[in-house]
Amino acid sequence: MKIDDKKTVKIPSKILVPLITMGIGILFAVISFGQYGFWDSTAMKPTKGFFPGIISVGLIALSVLAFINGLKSPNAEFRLINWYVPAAVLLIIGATYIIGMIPSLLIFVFLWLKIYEKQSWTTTLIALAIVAFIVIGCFRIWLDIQFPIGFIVELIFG
Amino acid sequence: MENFALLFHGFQVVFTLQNIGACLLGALLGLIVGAMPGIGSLAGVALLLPLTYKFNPTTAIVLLGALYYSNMYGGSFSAILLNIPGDSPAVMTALDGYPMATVKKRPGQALFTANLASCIGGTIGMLILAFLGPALADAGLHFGPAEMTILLLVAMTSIGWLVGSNPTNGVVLTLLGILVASIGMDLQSGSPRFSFGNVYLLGGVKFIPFVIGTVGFAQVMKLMDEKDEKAKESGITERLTIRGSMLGLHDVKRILPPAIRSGVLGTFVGVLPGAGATTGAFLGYAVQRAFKNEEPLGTGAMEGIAACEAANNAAAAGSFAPLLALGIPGSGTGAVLLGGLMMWGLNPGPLLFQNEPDFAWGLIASLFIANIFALLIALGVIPMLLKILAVPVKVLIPIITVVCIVGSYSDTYSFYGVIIMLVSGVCGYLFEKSGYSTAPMLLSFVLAPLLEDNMRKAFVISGGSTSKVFFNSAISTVLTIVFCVLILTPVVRAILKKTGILKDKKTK
Repeated sequence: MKIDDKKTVKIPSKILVPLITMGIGILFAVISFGQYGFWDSTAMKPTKGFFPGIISVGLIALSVLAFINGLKSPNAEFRLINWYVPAAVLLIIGATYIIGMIPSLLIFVFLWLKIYEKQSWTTTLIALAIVAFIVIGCFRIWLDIQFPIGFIVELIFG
Repeated sequence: MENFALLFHGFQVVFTLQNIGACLLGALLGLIVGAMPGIGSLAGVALLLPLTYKFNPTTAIVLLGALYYSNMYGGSFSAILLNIPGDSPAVMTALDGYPMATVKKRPGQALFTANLASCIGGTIGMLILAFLGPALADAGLHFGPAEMTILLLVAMTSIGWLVGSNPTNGVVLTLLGILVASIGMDLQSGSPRFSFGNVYLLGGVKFIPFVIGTVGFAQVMKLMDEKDEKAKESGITERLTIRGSMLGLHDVKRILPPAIRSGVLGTFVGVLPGAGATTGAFLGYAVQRAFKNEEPLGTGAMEGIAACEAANNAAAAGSFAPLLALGIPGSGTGAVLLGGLMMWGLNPGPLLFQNEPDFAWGLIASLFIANIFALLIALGVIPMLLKILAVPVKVLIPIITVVCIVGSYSDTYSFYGVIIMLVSGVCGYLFEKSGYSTAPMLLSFVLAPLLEDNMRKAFVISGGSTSKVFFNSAISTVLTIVFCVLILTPVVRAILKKTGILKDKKTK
């Protein structure tokens, strides 16, 4: 599989991040002050919007400052390749519904190392053994975590 | 003397087969994860948190303590053998460690110097902790909700300041972490808050998936940048053996004074919020320059390795004092550990030593045992170290991804945990890439419930008067002034830069 590792996207994240945090601050401030209230003057105590209200005002103010600082900063470069891992997690979630979580994870490790990274059989098998030990040995058997089995197994075994 | 008796009681708590086994497991895993370049102690502790599910609270805490502590040992391995520090405190170790291993051709002895100094520094730190922790807790008993509110605000802001390059960015993520923590149920009224009609959000954002994502998964995304870099080859030509790593009497005499000095210094640095092991190592090395060394520092001097390694391990032990006595962690890793302790129903704070002596003293005693285990394991793995360090990043990526998925799934028994991990991981990666350190966000996420509880109580007591909260006593007045300075400095600095009064370092 040939991947263009040099493919990068420049995103003005240094101004995008404060814009996002500012948006979150505004959302929380509106709900805190508008819906939950700030101070119960009858009982003379803060309401549930008191604390997040104060924090969200602080977040908005500092996000403005971070935004101004970010205007002068160069854009951050993001490589396409960095996003393969979150994409793989989404695929694993999808595959889990069909074949179950443990097979999905093992297939992921195999495909990643053997097909994508073109590692040797020895390296791939050692990595698979480590993953099997962690997932099956530690989590499934030792910690007794019940992982989803997928609808195919459910169909076969009811 | 009373403290020694209580410490002895702590050893009695820890000395069960299960606790010793957990301590050994924690020390072993912490050491291996700490040694692997690219993972680091923060991600290492976060990824291994789910392992505590199996145990009872005391054993879980023993495991966590050992895991955290032995992680500090691992960072020096790659610094000495590859000139790549495993974590930030090991940066100074590389200055003398790598020349001693390559130029002086004493790699095994360089490693053992680091390990022995770590053990000495850590032991000093723990002895001081056994006295300082309860003393700090006694002082903390005088803190009411108002004082605790401001103390927590100072702790959160100072970490936002000290971690990362931009204080404003640090405080932005501190506040974001608090807001994320406020999602779920309002504990005082028992009604939902910011759940946006989602059933899962009623239970709040879960700590383990959040922390695994923010540090572990974000780290995997970052590792994709390094995966095709050619692994640095070690300049070591000698075979690493345990026998060849042993130090002579003269060498031990050389490293003892700097290790003891840095041990004391590092402990007190570790107590300060935000300072932590990295500052301890830097200071330890800087102070060593003022003393006589057999060889010049920076050329492979044992004194240099001993000074920074003892200081960073002592700082790691010292940071437990505010963590246990006041509930304030000194670093991102400390915040993860605090979250783990809280998950097990342990509420660090001034009453901990009174209400939960088994937990508090058991944890301190387990650090002593972990220190010895870590030293022995570190010595035992020396012959295998070059192989451990040679694991390619491209092989680690899918393995860590799997650990992130199963670790976060096992916390919620649903994909809700995996989704939290994925979202917080992607956000964590974006933040780090944009110059926002995520450690303050973790800290504030953990401390937010404590802050809210104290703040609301303080305002109820004061009848809504802000001045009665912030200027209630001499302690709160001083802390308020410190807090204002921390908050206003970046604002004033930005204005001064804008007006041209203060010049940028670059323009200089």
